[in-house]
Amino acid sequence: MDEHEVVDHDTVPPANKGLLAAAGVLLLAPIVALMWVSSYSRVEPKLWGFPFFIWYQFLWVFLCSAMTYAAYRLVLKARPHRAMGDAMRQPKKHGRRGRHQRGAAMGDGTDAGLHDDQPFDGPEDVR
Amino acid sequence: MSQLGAALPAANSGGVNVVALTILIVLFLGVTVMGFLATRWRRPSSMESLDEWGLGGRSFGTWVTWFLLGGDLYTAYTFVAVPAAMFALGSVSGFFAVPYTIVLYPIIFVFMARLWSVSHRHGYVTPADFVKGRYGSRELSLAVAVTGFLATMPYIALQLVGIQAVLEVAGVGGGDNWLAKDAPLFIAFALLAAYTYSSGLRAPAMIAFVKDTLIYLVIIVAIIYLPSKVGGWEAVFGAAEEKMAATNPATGKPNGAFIPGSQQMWAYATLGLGSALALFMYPHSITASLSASSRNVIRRNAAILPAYSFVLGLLALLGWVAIAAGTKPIGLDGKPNAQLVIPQLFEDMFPSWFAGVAFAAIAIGALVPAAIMSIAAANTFTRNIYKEWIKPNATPKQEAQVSKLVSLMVKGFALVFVLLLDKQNAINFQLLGGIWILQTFPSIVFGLYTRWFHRWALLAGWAVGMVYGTWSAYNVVNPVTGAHFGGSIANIPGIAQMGYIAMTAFVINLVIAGVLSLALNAAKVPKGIDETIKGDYFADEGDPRVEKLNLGPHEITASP
Repeated sequence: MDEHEVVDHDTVPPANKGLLAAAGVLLLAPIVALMWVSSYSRVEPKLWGFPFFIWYQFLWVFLCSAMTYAAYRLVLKARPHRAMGDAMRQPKKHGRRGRHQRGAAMGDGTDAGLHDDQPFDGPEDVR
Repeated sequence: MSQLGAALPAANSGGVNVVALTILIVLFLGVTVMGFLATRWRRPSSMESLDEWGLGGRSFGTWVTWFLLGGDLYTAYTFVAVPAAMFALGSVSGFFAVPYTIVLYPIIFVFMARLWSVSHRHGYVTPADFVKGRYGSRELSLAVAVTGFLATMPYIALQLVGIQAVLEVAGVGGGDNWLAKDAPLFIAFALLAAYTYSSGLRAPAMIAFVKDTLIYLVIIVAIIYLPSKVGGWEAVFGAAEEKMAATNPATGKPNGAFIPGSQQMWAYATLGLGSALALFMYPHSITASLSASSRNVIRRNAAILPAYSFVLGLLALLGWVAIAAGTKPIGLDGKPNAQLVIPQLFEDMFPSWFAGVAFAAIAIGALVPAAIMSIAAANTFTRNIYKEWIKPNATPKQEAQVSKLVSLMVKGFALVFVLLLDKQNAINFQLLGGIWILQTFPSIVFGLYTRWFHRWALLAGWAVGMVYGTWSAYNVVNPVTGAHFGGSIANIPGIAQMGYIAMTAFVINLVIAGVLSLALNAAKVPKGIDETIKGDYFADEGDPRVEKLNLGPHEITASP
């Protein structure tokens, strides 16, 4: 295999540790907040008739979603993909380009619709 | 189809809602036909190999994966078991599902991408495959496979309880002999088995679109219409608070918790966290994740899937809407059964035709995950038990045949669960599965990061966790019926608080695995050969070996 190439693939690809740590904090926050039950197990203040206990947890659905998405962007930036291909004789500085260069990649059919106005598009913005 | 027609006249004796039932049957049959047609959807050149049948050729993109995961994760658990627990026992027993499905996503975000990468580099289809490759241990791999197989059964049983609840409220079944009473359940089971058998994972993916459309329609109507009909959310919460505070004559204690009290916080937190850690250890969750087309699809999904958690929370609250509406969930045997509360609420409050649509949404919503779960459990059995221990030189065709057969068997076992066990607290089925499956977490997830844990130490920790968890769950006795396996929370040793048994067993598992690893590593006991390299855990679509599974000669099967 390509372990004997210039790149030793039996290593962890380089990453920006600071960004990874920031992503870790974003991912940990919802877990800590929701496991700390005594901080929200009360009825007041109510919101549109909903006890605090209920609406606070609903709020975390959206906070957690936003934080997970932020972590996703951070992680993509922190550790660009290091291609393992035989043709790659040296590590690339940036994320792998041209996801379709290898011919019909899996998932193209349904993925195609994602690369337009979707806010959740991934790798191509990171280059 | 003629079976269904024959079952109808017999059911007329017990308050059948004809309109609702007709619509339920029409939608149900429509979906079943779709299941058969799904075989033709993006048709592969052959359905004969396990790869094609089980993972749909691994060609799903973001949106299909999203629907598939949703169909996979939000199930009869969501719209029968959780609201029923809310209705009968209150927030600690039911609403923990909300924090559970929120903290789930940060957790899978962290490790699932790694599992995707290493699995695609080495052609792993099940968690047990990975464990075998990583630790070079057939025994540990067998433990993981058996646990996955076992833990899936009560989870499928929960889905069957969901279908049964709908049919019971619609008025199907009843009568004195057990066969007549459960005939609709058998019919639903047979249909499920038939289309799963013929088309594999493609069927559930196709149907997930229909199912999710139906479910969202029903939920939007239910959430807007029902609370206003019973006097608004203020009235709903008022009625729930009153019911939970009232004394239960059978136990002499309050009925349940409106919000968790100071003695219930550990239970609430551990139920949420334990369930979240456990969910992605199930073979079916891992199958769905591996179906994704790239490593980052999984992380992107982790950010968009919480939309389902919000829906789950609203559905949970329908259990309290039913309290305010005064819903009386009485089974065909004349006894109260909390599991019927949501179908009963729909029948009482909606016009018949829409009740039928809602019933169909619930029934199909239980059917899809049941199909996915049984396929995943069958794949695990075939690869990690049959091929590994029984018939190592099985051809791909034989593998696919065994998988199909076992997927039927798993459903059969689940049916036995439904017929034999107490269905009053269906959410406990899922919690029981969680106790078992969580014991495989150290081998799988820690293994994605480090080889420090010794394979024999992990096996020992798993064994003790399984025994402790099963024993503790057995000793939880329902105070009313006196039945064992009456619940899944018990005293946490040393804390004097109640907590989810799975978490206690998990901690014991970890301590044993850690201490024994220290000892075995110091004694230089052979650690087994690790066939993975560090770079494997970061591989992505486009890297060598990533695009195709390395399953053997049937690799000639073309990917679409």
